[in-house]
Amino acid sequence: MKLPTVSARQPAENRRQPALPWMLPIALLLCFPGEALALQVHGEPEGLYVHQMAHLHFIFALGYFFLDIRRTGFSGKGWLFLQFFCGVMVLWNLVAFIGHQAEVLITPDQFAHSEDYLRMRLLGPLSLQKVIYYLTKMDHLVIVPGLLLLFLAMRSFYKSIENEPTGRKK
Amino acid sequence: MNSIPLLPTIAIDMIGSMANIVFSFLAAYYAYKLTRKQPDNFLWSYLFYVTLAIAAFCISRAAGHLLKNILYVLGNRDLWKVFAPYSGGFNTLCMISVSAVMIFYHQGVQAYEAVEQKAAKLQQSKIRLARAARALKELNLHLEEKVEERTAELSESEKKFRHLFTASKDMVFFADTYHAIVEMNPSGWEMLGYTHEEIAALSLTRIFKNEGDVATYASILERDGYLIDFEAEFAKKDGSVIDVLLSATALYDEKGAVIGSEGIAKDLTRLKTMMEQLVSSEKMASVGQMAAGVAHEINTPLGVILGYAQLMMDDFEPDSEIYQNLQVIERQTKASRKIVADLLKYSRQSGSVRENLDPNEIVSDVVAVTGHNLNLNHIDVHLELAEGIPTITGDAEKLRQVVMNLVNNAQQAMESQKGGDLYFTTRYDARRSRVLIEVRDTGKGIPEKVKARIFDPFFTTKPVGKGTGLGLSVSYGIIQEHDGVIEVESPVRMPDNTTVPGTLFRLVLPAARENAVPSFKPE
Repeated sequence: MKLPTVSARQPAENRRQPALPWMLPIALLLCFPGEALALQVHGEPEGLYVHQMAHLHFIFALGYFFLDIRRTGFSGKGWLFLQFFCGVMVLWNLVAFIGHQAEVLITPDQFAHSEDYLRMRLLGPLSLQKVIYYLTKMDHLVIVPGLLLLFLAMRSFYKSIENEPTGRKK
Repeated sequence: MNSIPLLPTIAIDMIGSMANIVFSFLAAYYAYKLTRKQPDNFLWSYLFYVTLAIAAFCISRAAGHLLKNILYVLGNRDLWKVFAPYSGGFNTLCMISVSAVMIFYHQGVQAYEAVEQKAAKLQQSKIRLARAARALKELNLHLEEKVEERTAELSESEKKFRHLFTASKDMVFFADTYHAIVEMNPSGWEMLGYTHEEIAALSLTRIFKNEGDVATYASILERDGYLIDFEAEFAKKDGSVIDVLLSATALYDEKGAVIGSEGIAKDLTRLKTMMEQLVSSEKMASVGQMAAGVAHEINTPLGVILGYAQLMMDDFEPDSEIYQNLQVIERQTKASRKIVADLLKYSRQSGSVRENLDPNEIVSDVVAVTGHNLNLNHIDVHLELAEGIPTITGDAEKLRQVVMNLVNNAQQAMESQKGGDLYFTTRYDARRSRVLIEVRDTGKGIPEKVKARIFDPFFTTKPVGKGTGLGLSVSYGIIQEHDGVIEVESPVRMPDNTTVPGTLFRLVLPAARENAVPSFKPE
């Protein structure tokens, strides 16, 4: 095959293309964006939705974790505490999820002495919605035992290997 | 009920938030301790990240709750509205993070299990490797000892066999497929008269005197793989021939093909000569016994014949024909008696006196008696008599007779060439404690075919009437009687290994012991 011959070095101005023609529109767009349709406005409820989805995600993760612990078949008190932790935390997530939903539905006029926070009261008559709201407000009664179980699990693990020699495997 | 106070929920919220922080941090603390205790354990590391994420989540949550309650109590609700989105957002983020870390557990454990399995395998391999290394080291250690031991044994064995090869008085050789000599021991070189340098160009084809012997040698080795007591003749460098008894083994390569041979050859020349001498001496002994018997039987009638002949001679005139006939009878009877006497001497039946004698004196006596006669026959006498040699024990008369016989034979051997040289040599072989008397002439020598018979009684090469054929046999008997040996060389091998024509008779007689008492051997 005959290759095309290059007679001599090309002049520098012939080899370089001017940058201005294609950079100019980009620069203009960046300086004057106007109403760029690609950008989406995140309104107020989005935060709540994300948070609620995070709870659901957390429930899924805990369930997955729980099943995996059972699948791997690790035995010992620590692993048992960890499984309980998963269960309690799933319960707490449900409580929290419901609580957040109940909080959305409750209106300020359903509270008395709203100007004094510590003396605030939930006005009657008590409906299911109000009871749920009130009970879910006390979600710490669920999450604290859950975290206690986590602590117990970690401590049990540690106790189980406490007497083994410290160091890396050789 | 008109209303329910929210204070319990607020109190639980605040206390619970603080408890959350405490328990989550305690959990993270123990998880951290786990990682410190076993840094390589993936599960502890994973749980540490889970607890860390939960602690972060608890802080984000508790901090938000506490801040909200505090701001609400203080009446700064608007300020909380500022913090609320950040608190909520951060809390959501932490919750998602915890979820993500938890979901990772499955993959992590799988990876951990795989790693653990690999690690266990590696550990097993490492243990096996260490065990193998230990075994190898042990083996190596013993191997070195074994090798050293074997090397020493081999060296010792090699030294032993090398010494055997070098010091062997028999010829030991190695030949290749084409019968070329690859290696030969010093005895082999000496036996064949070659130097070590000449061995390189030597082959069995050249060594074997008869061409057919090489083919026989090769075919037997090819067929049987070995060869035992193969009698052959080897040609020496100077052309002379030696008789050898050969044993050989074929050498094979890995495929079983013959690549050469190794052999041992024993020089039988001396043995053969000895055997011939033994046979001869046995023959002489039996002839001697017969001769003695015959002589005894003949001696008496001869005496009677001689006596009657002499008595009858008294009865007739000396000029008469009968008297002359009786003279013939007397002469021939006397001649017969002399022969009988010689036979008796040969068979050692005659008595002898044993005394210490000077060998030089015996030779000188004979030379004195025969000198004139030798002179007449143009024979020059050369005396090389060693001084101070030991005496010998024997009968002077008989030993003189032996030397005389040898002189007569020498004289007759040089008769045809009208003279020559006659050498008398005496010397002492201290190693064997023997006195040697040598008589060498420069005559025509003894033909090879008659050499074996010269000591036989009545064997003679002289014309009829010139010899009885008893001279050498009688000499042989006398020397044997003196516990000696009579040797003959013809042609004569000189000390410089050259050969000259003529004949040499060597009387080898035992030197007399210092305190030996001369004795008389009765007839």
